[in-house]
Amino acid sequence: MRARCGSEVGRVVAVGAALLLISGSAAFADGRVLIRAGGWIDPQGALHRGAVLVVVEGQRVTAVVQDAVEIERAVQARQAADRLDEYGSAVVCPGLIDVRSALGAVGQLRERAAALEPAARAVDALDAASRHFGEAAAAGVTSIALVPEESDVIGGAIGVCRMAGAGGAVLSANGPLRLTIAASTFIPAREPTSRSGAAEMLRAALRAASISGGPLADVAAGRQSAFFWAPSSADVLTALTLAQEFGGLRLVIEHTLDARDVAGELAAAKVPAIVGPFDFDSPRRATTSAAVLHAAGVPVAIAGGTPFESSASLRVGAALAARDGLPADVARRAITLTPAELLGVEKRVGSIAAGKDADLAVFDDDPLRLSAKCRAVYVAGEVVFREFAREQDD
Amino acid sequence: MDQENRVGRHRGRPRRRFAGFRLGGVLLVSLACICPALGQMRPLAIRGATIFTGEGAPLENATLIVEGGEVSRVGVDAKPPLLARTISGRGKYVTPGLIDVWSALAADAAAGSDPTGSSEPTFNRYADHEIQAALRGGVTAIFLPARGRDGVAGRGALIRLQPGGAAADELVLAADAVMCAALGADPRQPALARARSIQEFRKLWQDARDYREAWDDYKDEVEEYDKKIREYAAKGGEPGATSKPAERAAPARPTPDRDLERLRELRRRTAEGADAAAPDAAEAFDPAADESVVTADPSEPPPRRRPQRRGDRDGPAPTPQEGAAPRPSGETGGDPDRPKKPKEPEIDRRKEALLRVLDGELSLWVEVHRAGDIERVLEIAREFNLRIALVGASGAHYVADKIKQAEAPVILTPGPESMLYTGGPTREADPAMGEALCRAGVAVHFGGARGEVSRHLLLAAAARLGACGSETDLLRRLTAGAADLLGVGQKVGRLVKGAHGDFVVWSANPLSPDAVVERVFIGGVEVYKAEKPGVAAEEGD
Repeated sequence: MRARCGSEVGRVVAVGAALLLISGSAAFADGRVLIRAGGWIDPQGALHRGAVLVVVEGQRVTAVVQDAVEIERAVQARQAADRLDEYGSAVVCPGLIDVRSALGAVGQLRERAAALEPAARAVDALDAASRHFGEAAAAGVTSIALVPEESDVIGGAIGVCRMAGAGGAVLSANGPLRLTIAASTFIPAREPTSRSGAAEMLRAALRAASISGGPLADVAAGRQSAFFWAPSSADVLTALTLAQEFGGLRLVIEHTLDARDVAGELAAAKVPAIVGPFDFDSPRRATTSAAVLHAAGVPVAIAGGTPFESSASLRVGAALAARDGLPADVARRAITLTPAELLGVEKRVGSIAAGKDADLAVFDDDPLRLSAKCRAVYVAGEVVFREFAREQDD
Repeated sequence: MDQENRVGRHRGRPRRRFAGFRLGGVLLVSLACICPALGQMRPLAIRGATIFTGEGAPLENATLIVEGGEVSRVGVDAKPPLLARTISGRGKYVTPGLIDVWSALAADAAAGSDPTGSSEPTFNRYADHEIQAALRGGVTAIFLPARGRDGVAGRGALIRLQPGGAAADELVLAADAVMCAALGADPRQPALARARSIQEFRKLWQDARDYREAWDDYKDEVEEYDKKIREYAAKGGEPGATSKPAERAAPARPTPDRDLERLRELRRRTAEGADAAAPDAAEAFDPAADESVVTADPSEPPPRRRPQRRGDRDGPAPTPQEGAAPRPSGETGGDPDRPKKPKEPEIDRRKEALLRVLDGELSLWVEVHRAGDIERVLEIAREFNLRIALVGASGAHYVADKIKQAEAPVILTPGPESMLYTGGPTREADPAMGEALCRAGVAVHFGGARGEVSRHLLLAAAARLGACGSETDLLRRLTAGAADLLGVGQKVGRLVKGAHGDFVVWSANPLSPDAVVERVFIGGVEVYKAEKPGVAAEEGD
């Protein structure tokens, strides 16, 4: 590990020296960023207090150093091109991920004419310059899933977007498909008009897809997952039946206040669930659902629901779930790595590990302590929010 | 005889046995009645806990003792008395019960928008479900504001969340400390209506002030009239007009106690006092007669002008008529020289209620949003010297220095619920508002606003005011700080000798992510206990 660090430093020195000859600023941009803080959250959501150094090179994290002596050595050995970002006792957390959002959506995410839109992509409704991205970033949110509305039986592909400054980079344009057979699909002057009709439309489409190909074929073959909007426990059970019928379907149950009642069935079918968003006045039945599902063995993600909810809603949701019985590490994972897994972007975001994108949020303290303020946010190694900038504004 | 005896004996034995049962039953019943009472009387001790008393740093490994419903001792060296019920507090964290200073919990009906009303009757003390939910969040008292349409809505009350039937005076604290008002809090209100309601709000205080001055003037007029009627009598004007000073005690508008009954009483006395001096007692209650006197006596001294202030009146103000008035000659009835009885102002209950605020007896809590409206309210408060607090106050961060200057506390409510633009009162809501106000030095408090929020008061407050200070500071704001704001800091919000035994046992530091309320006590009586210590209830509501 140290040897590798050494060789990396050597490379950086060489590159830095070469670039310095050309342009100072370019050299700076190519240096590493050393983020030193007083704690970090590991991929499983556990909070480790104590000195930590996250080394960022370009867009990626290249090392997470926890040993105090090694940290000191790495800091001492840094080059002129490197930048040291000191955060004292603050905690470095993976950037938060809102697994159900409409952040930056323009036009409509709601299709009213066609009920089957397997080829539609939510990212086409994205306004990358929306001011909401900056606001969300200031709350520690670095990625969001832009989700088509639940008005269609097949709503189209979920897009995964990032708060990359003004860029609004698209992390994945072809995410999981959005499916549902709930009453929200019954729109006047079009099919379906009944629950069984909706289920039959979905079945027929899935059968046909295996011949015609396209995104729905990937779902039918299990190469892509699908988010199934299931407001009631009956919807959940229908979804599980469909998954059984089409052997390979990989479903994620979404938005359900009743999933807790069928937690055992979900666990047996190895189907994860998305709960939330929660607010301070959410009923106890809702906020305890995460704990009930987790206890039954169901992987749980907590949605933030931005921008309909506040930018703090992810942390609020996780904190409320933790108060109502969800273990703290599971609650932190439920707004970072678990959503990344459900969205199929876990190899790039959702946790702090060497090789992953440097999407980081630095909080004063444990992000589940709602009094902790967001100090800084990095997206792909770039600072997109820093707290002192706000104080200077005032 | 024998038989009779036998029968008698036979009869008597079971009766005696029955009597024995009855006695036992009575004893059992009375014991059953007494036991809970005894339990309440039995001292209670929480030992070895981390105790936050509402002030300063938490005490480690300390003991809290509650006797007779009140805190008797708290400290590291406090020894529990004999026979005390002792609860181990090892690893636990004890705080005073949290106080939600702007709540809608278990509020059954909206209080009518009337300054004479109170929110107290709108509290449904039998709403067990809501009360239990709040207790589960460690909240033991809520301030229930009177909320109505724009304008002054009535007095709020601080209510302890004691389930079951406690005496009202134990349940309700500070029922007479705060007048509540709202301005532009209705999101559907058009901007012009908002502007008008602020004007009306100002006029309300102007009218109340005028009303007080009218009474003050009246008091002076009566004194003057008294003096004159005595002179008139001494000069032989009226045989019955001898002075009875005790009855003619200053007919001041009753400042300290404005209870309506007392007002009427005083009003009656005022009239009688004047009657005793006046010759025509029968006329006294008849306003029409008063009117006739006015018309019959054109030579009356001119009524005093309202703007004349107390300062002027205290000075030697010679009555112009004293020398000029011709001596009375003993005639009755329409004697043009007889001094005219001053006309009493109407008693107005609403204005009386507002005067309590003008006199500084009640503070005024105004729910107002938008920086511009807040500025207007601060101006009105300065003009009328009102003790105000701002509630909700979205946009307050723009005028933080003015709020600081006015020394007005701000009661924040949960932050913006949505990132989307709203045109309503929360248009200027900002997640970082609490921090900006704290940095400006404004006294900041927190209320849940919606009843359901009380269950997560601590979390909601942490999200809103977390950046204002340490976690201990946040706890202080929700306990001692809230109680002080309502003027009951010696009874609730603190665990000090003599305070109510209203406290919460948490499984850990209340602000740690997995802390759970394990027990809640009100008046030393356990009112909530978690099913399993350290674990939240499995089932939902």
